[in-house]
Amino acid sequence: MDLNAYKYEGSQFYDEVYDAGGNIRPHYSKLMEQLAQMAPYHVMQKQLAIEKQMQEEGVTYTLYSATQGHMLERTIPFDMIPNIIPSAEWANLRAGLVQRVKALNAFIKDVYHEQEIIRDGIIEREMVVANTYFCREMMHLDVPQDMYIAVSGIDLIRNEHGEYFVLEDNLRSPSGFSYLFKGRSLMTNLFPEWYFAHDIRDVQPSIDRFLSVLKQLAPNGKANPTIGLLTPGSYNSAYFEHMFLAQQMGIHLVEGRDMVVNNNKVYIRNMSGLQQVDVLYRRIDDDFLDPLAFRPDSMLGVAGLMNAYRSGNIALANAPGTGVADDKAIYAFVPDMIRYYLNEEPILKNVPTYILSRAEEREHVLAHLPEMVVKETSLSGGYGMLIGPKASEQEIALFAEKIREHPERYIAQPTISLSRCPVIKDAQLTPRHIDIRAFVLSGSQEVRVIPGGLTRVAMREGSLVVNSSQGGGVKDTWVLSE
Amino acid sequence: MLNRVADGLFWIGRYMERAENHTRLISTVYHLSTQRTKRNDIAHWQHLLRLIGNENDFLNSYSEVSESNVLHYVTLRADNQNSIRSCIHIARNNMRQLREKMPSECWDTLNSLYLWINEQTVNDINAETPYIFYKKIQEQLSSFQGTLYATMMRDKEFHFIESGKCLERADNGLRMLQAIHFSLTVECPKSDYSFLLALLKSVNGYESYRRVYADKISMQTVVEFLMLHPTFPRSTCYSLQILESHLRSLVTQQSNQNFLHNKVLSHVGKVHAELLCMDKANFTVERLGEHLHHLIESCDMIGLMIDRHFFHEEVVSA
Repeated sequence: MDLNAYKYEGSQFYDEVYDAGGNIRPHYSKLMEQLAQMAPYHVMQKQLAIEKQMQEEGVTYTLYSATQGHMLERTIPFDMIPNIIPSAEWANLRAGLVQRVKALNAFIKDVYHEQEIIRDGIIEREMVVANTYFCREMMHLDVPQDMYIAVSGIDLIRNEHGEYFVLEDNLRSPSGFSYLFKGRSLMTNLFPEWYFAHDIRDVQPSIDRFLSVLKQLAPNGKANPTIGLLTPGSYNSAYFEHMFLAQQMGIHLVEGRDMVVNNNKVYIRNMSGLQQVDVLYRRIDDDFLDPLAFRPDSMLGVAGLMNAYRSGNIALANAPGTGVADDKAIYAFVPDMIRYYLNEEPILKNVPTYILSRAEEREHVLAHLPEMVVKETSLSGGYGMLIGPKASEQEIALFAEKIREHPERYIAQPTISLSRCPVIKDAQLTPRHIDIRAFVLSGSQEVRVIPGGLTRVAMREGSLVVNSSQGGGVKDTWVLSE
Repeated sequence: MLNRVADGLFWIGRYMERAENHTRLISTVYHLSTQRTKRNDIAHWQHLLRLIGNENDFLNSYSEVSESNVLHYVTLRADNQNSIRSCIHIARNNMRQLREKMPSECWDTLNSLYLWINEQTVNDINAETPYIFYKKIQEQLSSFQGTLYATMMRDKEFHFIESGKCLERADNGLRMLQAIHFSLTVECPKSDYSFLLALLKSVNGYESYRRVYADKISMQTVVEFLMLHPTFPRSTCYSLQILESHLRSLVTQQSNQNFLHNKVLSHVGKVHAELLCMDKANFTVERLGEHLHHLIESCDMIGLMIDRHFFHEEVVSA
């Protein structure tokens, strides 16, 4: 395969493989050498093999087709070139992620108890209590082990100098684990010669970590808790992931209708009777958890679940109301939280963020809209966004109007040119923008980061949107051992 | 185990078995039709339609009873609930909702078959010759069953799938016999036993039959073999015996005894005992119909009881 056809375009973007001088970075040298020896025909065949294997194993997300009137199962594009991270670089990221999640957890505990951070004037009260995801039901409720965010996904990006930034915290029910694990098994099955030529940190033990984190949540330190994964069901787009995690950890995959609350305890309706559940890893939104406490029309939840939770008879991962901390406006305060709760300097940088409810910042942003990325604070998945440099004048004018109308709903950030990594397209290398979703698992005894996380790729040329719902793909992520 | 999971597993067993029975039958009937003497003899195809699906339903969508139309209808047609494709679809979609309960290799084999059959057209059947085409399906189905046997833990999940499979096998065999009996008595009493022979071949029982009955092929002996033989794996009697043993394992693996579950078990035992009390003399053309009718009703009853007592019983004790 001819590597010289690759256009890394010097210094405009940080390229994961090539430095500004056009030389291959040392940690990619072996892989690129191996790739250069592959015939284009061979590359195409491997690409087909990847797709076939994903189809057969059913590594799919579901989407509803209005035209065909039924559910379609789609595979996500998987690119064979891994994103390689040297060990020292990872060590720093890891430390930063652990620190960040600890502070966020402390913040959530605080806002649902004494609210000291508000009293000390670090964050305005309104930002917290008027937040869409602020959950009044959680006030003064003590959660098992004080652990609110057992499972989190932190999105990382790199600017044109290769510096890492946190783009977003996902503290409700982040997805992507299955692609991480399946991606790795695809790579070891189909590219063993690449895999064995590198010394790569194994991700498989993370499944055990995941399970042990869930176990540690069990109320009253029960030694052998019954754990369930609460899924909205097989029509949910992430159903494969729910199934996969339940199967890998050997926990029960349950839907709301499979459970019943009796005497403030939650039970699975088993064929042989009722079995009490101690920990519920839930993959449904707060609003749908319990029709008695939240949306009364929810068919997905379990009636009485919140009472059982309040009585301390069940642990929920993650706790309801964690969304208050992954809001895009609250995001701006995470560095302050780290200083406030941990008395440490943040290891990972935030992307500078303008809070548009502040008049001064708002005027600055409105004057520079074509250079900004504007996001609606309560939306995720790449929706409700304005990417200034890519937007038309009308779109910009429309957004300016929306901002003036509801400044509190938006934040703005300078456009960061995400780093690029080559992908295979038509048996050729071509650059695409990427980010990394790092997964952090926090138990009462330990906070662990899955080595590598999930590299997401914007598969369309020039696109900055990596979300799978908007045509994004994924790559395996290799963290090298020391 | 959740009730809905048990239900799903049971029907995976049933539909995979149904797909296999139909595959074997279509393939055999196709070969019968190649041996026919008269041209344009469509009797075989009409027969197959009656066994797998519904003739009126067929005539609503196809202009004529022809080889390729019938093969399409019984193999690939999506709105024929009994076509091989439909059976595989239902089994696969059931499994998709309880994948985590089964070894992933089982999913992989079933899902590959599903993806493969989705791409097939009636032209593929002819292009490959039906013999090779149905052999391919047969091999993939066997590969599924083999994977199941080689990888599944012998716990409730396994026993539910196997129970479904056994009940389906017993039920299917009886229905096939009933259809053939009908055509022998009502339609063309003069017809030879070619269909009976086809049925025997379709369950891969011709050679076994020959080992047991060295002399002649008569309806009575074929029916006796297919229904009563104690060790032939696809006989009604054997299927019910194995069904009973899987249900027994289910009942005994339960932590608290449920008397309704025991009742299901007793009922299967009763039907099995009735069969054991029969012999060749019951299977004259005159009396066979009545026996078949009764046995099919009993199988339906077993299905209903399993459904009600295993899948829909609310156990209230905590």
